[in-house]
Parts: sequence; C-alpha cells; structure tokens
Amino acid sequence: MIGSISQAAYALTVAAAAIACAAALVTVVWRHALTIGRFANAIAAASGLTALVTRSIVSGHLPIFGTFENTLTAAWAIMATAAFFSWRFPVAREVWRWAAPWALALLLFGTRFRAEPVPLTISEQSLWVDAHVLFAWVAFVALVGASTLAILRLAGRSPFALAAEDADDLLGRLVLLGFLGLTVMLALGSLYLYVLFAVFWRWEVVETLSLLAWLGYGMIAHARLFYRMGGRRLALAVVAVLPLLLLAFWIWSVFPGTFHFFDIPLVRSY
Amino acid sequence: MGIRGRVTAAYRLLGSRRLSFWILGAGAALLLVWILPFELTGQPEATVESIGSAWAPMRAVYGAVAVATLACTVPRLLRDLARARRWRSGRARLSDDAPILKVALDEAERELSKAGYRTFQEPATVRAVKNAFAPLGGSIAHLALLALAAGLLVNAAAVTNTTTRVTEGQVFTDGALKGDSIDEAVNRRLEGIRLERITPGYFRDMLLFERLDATVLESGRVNTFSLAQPMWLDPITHLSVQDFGFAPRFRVDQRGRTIQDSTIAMSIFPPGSEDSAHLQSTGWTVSAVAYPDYARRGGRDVTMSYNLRNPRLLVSLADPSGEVLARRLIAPGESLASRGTTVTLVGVSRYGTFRLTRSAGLPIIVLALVGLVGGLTWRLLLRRHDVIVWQSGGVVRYDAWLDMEGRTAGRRALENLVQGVS
Repeated sequence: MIGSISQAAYALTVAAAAIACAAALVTVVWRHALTIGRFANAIAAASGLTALVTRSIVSGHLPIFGTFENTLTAAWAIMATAAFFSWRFPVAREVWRWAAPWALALLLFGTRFRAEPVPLTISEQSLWVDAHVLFAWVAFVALVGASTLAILRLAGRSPFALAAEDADDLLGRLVLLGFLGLTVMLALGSLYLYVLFAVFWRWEVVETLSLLAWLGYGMIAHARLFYRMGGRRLALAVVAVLPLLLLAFWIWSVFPGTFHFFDIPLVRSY
Repeated sequence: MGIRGRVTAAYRLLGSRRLSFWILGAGAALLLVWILPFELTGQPEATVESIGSAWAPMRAVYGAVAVATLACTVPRLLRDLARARRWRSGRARLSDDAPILKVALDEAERELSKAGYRTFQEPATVRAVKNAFAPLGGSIAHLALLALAAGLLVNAAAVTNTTTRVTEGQVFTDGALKGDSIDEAVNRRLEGIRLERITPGYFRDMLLFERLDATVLESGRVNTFSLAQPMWLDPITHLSVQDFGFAPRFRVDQRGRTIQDSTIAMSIFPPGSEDSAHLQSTGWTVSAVAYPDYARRGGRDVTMSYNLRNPRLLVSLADPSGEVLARRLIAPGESLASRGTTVTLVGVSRYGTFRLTRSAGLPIIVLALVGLVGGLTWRLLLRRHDVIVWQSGGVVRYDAWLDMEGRTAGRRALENLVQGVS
C-alpha cells in the first residue's frame, strides 16, 4: 500500500515538474503559464515530499541510497526551495522558472537507475552519513541556485528585477552558503571515513572532485569578499566551477570505480 | 632596500592574498591534471595516493599553502583582536556629504543600544559597533586549517591500524591485534574480550549486507558493534568489524589418535571462492569451497542462500607435491581419508575481520574540523557593523560600514534599523 502511494507520488512529481518546466518555457509568449508553472512546482514539491517520506517508510532509511533516491531528493530540495521562496517573498515569485529545468533533468536522469527500494548497506547505517548527505544537498541547492543566477547574468538577464549590485550580493551569498555546506559535508565525510577505514582522506574520484569544487568556490568566496569581484567576472567564475560541482555530486552514478558507488548490483547466491 | 626592508617585503608577499590565490590555483591545477586523470583511468589507489601525498610538487603546494596561510592569518588575527577590543568604529568616517538622520543624537544612541550595538559616546558623536568579534571567525577557520594539517601529520606518524581475523569463541589477543604501539590499558582490555558470534544479514538473500554485527563478551557484559558503529576502547581507539567469512574446524586422526584439531579462518565467502590452508600435522594442504545453505537442484550442488543453515564443504586434500589425495563434498561430522589419515570436518563457524584503529592525531583533527566549520559559520553569518552618528551644523548625519560588504551595505543596514532616516 505505502509502496503504491510512493510510486504514485513519484509519478505525479515527475509529471508536475515536466509541466512546470514546459510552463517556464512558454511564459515568454503566454503569461498565464506563470501561474500554472508556479502551481505545478508547488504540486511537484508536495508530491515529491510524499514520495520521499513513503519511500523512507518502505526502505527503512532516509532517501540517500543510490542514484534514483538521490536524484529524487535533490530534485525535491530544489523544487521545495523554489516553492518556499516564491510563496514567502513576492520578489522571488518566479524563482520556480529557473528551478524546474534542474529538477526535471535530475528526475529524468534518475529514471535510468534501479528504483526498487533497498535497505542501507552496512557502511551507510550511521547518522554521520545522514548528516553528510544533508549538508551535501544544502550545498548543492545553494550552488545550483548560484550557477543559475550566474548563467542568467551572463545571458544579460536580471532575475527578480534585481539591480546589478543586489544580484552580485545574492550570488555571493549563495556561493558562501554553498561553500559552508561543502565544508561541513567534507568535514563529516572525513571523520566518518576515519571511523570506517582508519584514514581521513582517500584519493578517489569523488573526493578529489569535491576538493576541487571546494577550492573553486573558496577562491570565488575570497575574491568576492576581499576584492569585491562582481558582474560578469563573478558570474563567469561561478559557471566555470559548475562542471566540477555536477561531477562531484553525480559521477558516482556512472563511474563504479569509487567507494561512493551505491547502485550496488544485487547478486543471488545461486 | 636594506635587509629589514627585504624581510618585510618577503613577509608581506607570503601573507598576500594574491599569492594565496596563485598557490591554491596551482594546487587545483595539479589535482586536475595530475591526480584526476589517474583516478578516472582506474589506476590503483596506492599509486594515486603516492602522488597526492608524496610527490614533490604536491608537497611544495601543501608547504606553500601552510606558510602563506600562517603569514596571512597571524597579522590579521592580531589586528582583528585589537579592533575587537577597541569596539569602536575604525572605518566609518565623518564626511560632509553623509546622509542626514531625522532623529536626535540621543534617540539614535538609544535605538542602536536597543538593537544590541555597543555604543561609545564622544562629544556630539556616537560610535557604535555590532558583532565586533565577527572577523575573528575567518582567522579561526584559517588557523583550523593549519591545525588540520598538523593533525594529519601526527596521524600519519602515529596511527595504528591493525586488522586481524578472530573466530567465534576466540579472545581478541589470540589474533594479531595486540601490539607494542597500542596502549597497555587497551592491550589489557583486549585480553578480556571474547568474540561470541558474527551475525551477517542479507537483503532478500542477495549479496547486499543489511547487517554485519559482532557480539562480544567482556567482563560478563555483552556488547554488539559493527562497521558503522564501532566499539570505542578509549577516546582515540576503536574496534570495528570490517568483513567476515567461514571458519571450518578440521580434526586430523592417525591410527586412532587425534594429531590436530584446528579452526581455520578461510576466505571461502562468498560461495564459489576457494581457499586453502596448511595442515601442520601432516604437511598436507586442505582446500575448500563452501555451500553454506546446501541443496541439490537439477543434479547440481548449489547453495540456496548465503546463510550458514545447512553447510557443506567441497574439501580437497593434497600432499606437498600437489597430488590430490581426496576430494569430496562433506557435511559436518563427515570425513575424508587417505594413506591412513582421516580429516574430519567437525563444524563450520564464522570469523570476523576486525580493525583496531588508534590515532593521537584524532583529537587534533576533530578540534580542527570543528574550528573550521565553526569559524566559517561565525564569519559568514555575522558581519561586523560599524556605525557613526554625529551632529554638525544643526543636523545629525550618519555613516556606516558593513564588514566585507562595504559602506553602501553598511548604510543600508543602518537605514533598516533606525526609523526616520532620510
């Protein structure tokens, strides 16, 4: 029963995200799409939360295991953040337009992976992992938000009718929040790695990419805070680090040569 | 330029943010072109680790980052401490074109005090500051990075990381965990810990571990731990179960006399894996393949699950020349015989692979990471706000400075705070 609710909620989430995405595209020619898209994004956030909660009940753990669960969690985090800001702050009413494509892309990517809920394997059964993943998604949402804003700035758009200086400020704050999230994620991951394997760092692809992304955003944060870097240069810098962010967060889905690989093949004994 | 001047210039260069940028950029470039490609092409982790930790250019970057961070942070920390102690505006300045405040000086002072600002009154002037210690967060975060590096060095020099196999019923020091580098109190404690059982659990009988617990008996108390929830023997030493396997017990009899009775931890999990061991009493080699949940299906020997429910072992005996003397699938209680010697499978139990980890660097690293996260949070969430309000020519003017964001942001923050600002 709960499994069926979870599947139905997931299907509704994908459908609502697709509608929001389509609405985001046609708002230029059809203004009513703004209301439809905002509503669809809110529906997607609500049904996504239902899907996550019911899935957690079925699997017995938070939705942090494997690509399918993580894409759903990340997409929901983006849509829920957009829904909250567009409801709470009139100036950010249209933020869903820039969130919906990311969410839909993540959801579609997730459909390529095993959707069956499976229990956590022994190395993941820890609150350390839950906290590590929580901060990872905080960082991801903030930095995807920063990247989107940077792309819009480079395209000559000013979202929410922000003055250039205010847009730079918002971009800087998102980078700082994301950088802080990445720092906590790395710190928790490092401590838990020691508990598991007696080392604080392993030279493997996800950790190296995360370190590169951390260095990249750290340098941008310093440039912003101490040299007041802004405008096109700030936007370019944020966009330049985006590939590292995406690789750090998703390369494990397609590259099994990392201990962050969690789409574990299920092998029977006979 | 004299020597003193040159030293000062070199120190300034080392502590400059511009140099820090170049060093971090160089480090990132090295990671990108000389670490990542090796990882992506599947080079062994040890190879990449040797580059990352021992390759001279990487070490040069680590050293340069440490020196530059120290040279940059120490003067900054001293300056921020001095400023914080003074808790009075150092940046906001009296200026004739400053905006006008439509409230009296006293009223402005009251509003600022009410909002948590520390105020400092001078004739016809009020200076105020909030979050005076906020800039220290940045210094703390940078010093924490240095402490982290120190902790990692201590860890590299003093970590004990031992693994050993312990079979059910065995005391931990029967294995190889006891060592000189382990604290004597830990050694004594290990001597009193006996492994009662290893409990694996599989998701729907597939090779996905839901559970791998070790239950031990220590001073009459039962304790259960696992990989993710290790047993802490003291604040810097923990014991965790990493892996498990099957441990067959073999009895060797010759002319009615038992000459060997051993439980041997063999790498025969998952089923299909074959491992061999030396039987000291005969000089023979015993090899085994496990069928932990044996069944006969379609004329074939199979195992229905990974659980040790109905074990059978396909056992081979070979003499020192490698000649196979006997080979048969046997159940507990059954035997193989050759040349007047009988090898009996008495039973099959489990063993655990345990890791004992101890590092004096752990407290330093934990503190450093807490300092890094705490310092960054402090720095990023709080901003020092310097405010000055003064009376000049019958009007009250104001100026303000928000740390790291400048005068415009500082004035805006004050405008949001004080009612009646024009």
